[in-house]
Amino acid sequence: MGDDPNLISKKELLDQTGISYGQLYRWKRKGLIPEAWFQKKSAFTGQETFFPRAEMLARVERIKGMKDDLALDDLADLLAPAPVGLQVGVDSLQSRKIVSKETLDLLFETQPLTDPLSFETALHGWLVDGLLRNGEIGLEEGRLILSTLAAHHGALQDQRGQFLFLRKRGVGFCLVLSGTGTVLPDPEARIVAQRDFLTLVGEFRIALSGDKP
Amino acid sequence: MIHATTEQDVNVMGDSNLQGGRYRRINVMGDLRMDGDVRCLAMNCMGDATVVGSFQSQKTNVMGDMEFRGPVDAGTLNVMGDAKFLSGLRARTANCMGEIEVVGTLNADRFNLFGELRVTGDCNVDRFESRGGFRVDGLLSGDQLRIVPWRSCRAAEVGGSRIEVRRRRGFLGVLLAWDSLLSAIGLGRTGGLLEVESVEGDDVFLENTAAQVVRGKRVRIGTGCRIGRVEHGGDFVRHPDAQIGEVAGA
Repeated sequence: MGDDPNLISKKELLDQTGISYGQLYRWKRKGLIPEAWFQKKSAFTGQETFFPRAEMLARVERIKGMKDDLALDDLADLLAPAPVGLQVGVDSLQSRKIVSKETLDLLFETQPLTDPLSFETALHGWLVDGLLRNGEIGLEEGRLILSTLAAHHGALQDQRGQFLFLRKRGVGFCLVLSGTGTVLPDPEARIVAQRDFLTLVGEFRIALSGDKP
Repeated sequence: MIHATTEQDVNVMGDSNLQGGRYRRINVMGDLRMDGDVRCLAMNCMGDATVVGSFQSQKTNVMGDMEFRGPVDAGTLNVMGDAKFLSGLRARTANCMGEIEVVGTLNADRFNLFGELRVTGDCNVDRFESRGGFRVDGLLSGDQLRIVPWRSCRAAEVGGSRIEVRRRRGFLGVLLAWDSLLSAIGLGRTGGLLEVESVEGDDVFLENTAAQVVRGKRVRIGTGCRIGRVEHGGDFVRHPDAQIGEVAGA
């Protein structure tokens, strides 16, 4: 079944990592594994599920590492896909170095100060913080992204959207797509960053749950 | 239009509108439309109510008809009437003796179903018990799933730790008589059927189930099953009645 070496089948994953179906489905329910990683393919034994190999193995190890049950339950509360009201304290973001002070300042320049932040706003901060830290964008561009994301804050609701940052001749601009289509930009423009929200949400949740103070 | 200034109780007997905001109890015996986001301690609806924005409550009782257009965190949910959730549903414990329809994903810690459930997305419940009918277009997932199928129950996939599907038993004379009455009109005394593409779990016990693939560590296939392929981890028992295409062991 291993046509694509970058994918791992569910069965192989369970054998290799020693986790059970119950655990896998539990983590999926808790949002610890992004929906987009579950890829259905037809195999000779009927439909089988595959995962991106490297990411999935790393994620399983990560989750197993913090898996005493109480922590997982705490995590579950934190990660429950609460449609309303999941909030993140500004202090904890800063003290746990999830989002830097500079980015938080930037965030509050683009919108009124609230503490705690909504999950979505915190996620925007985290996304921009990552881009700044990698040197993919500059401060001014960070501000642009934050205000664009704030203006389209509904886009994250169904978690199917994508975020793109493009640059052409030194001028950056930001796009929020509400689907998963392919973007075909002007050949002169360069896609600086492209993220889908689903993966972002998953990664941000892991970041939040990772190092408790 | 009722405006909320502080958290207060709201009782509606006639026809009314309510603005979004925070409330203590909202009791509806008439017809109520809530605009904006509503947060309350308890919602009791014996009439007809619509929430246009998001909704959050510790306790939600629907004995009449309710429609939620925004995302919902219902707390403890009891539905004896008809409830529609158009942007997903999250609940702690949900008891459904009426009808629940969810467009999107259903998330709950516990779900007890005696009525009917329809979910267009995934249904994620830690403990799911059903004696009713359901149709889940996505994945039905839980730590413990106990299903006694009633008429037709469908899900695209079922996955979890412990999955138990049992046929309804006629353990009393009354029930036996009822069963034979049912078989006389063609519904058979074997009860309902669960139809699903795949079942995956650590402990799987199935009766009255039609599935293309069943994968599990310990798999028991009982009476009334039609299974295309079974993949098990070394522990497999089958009932002589069960129709099974192929079996692959570890």
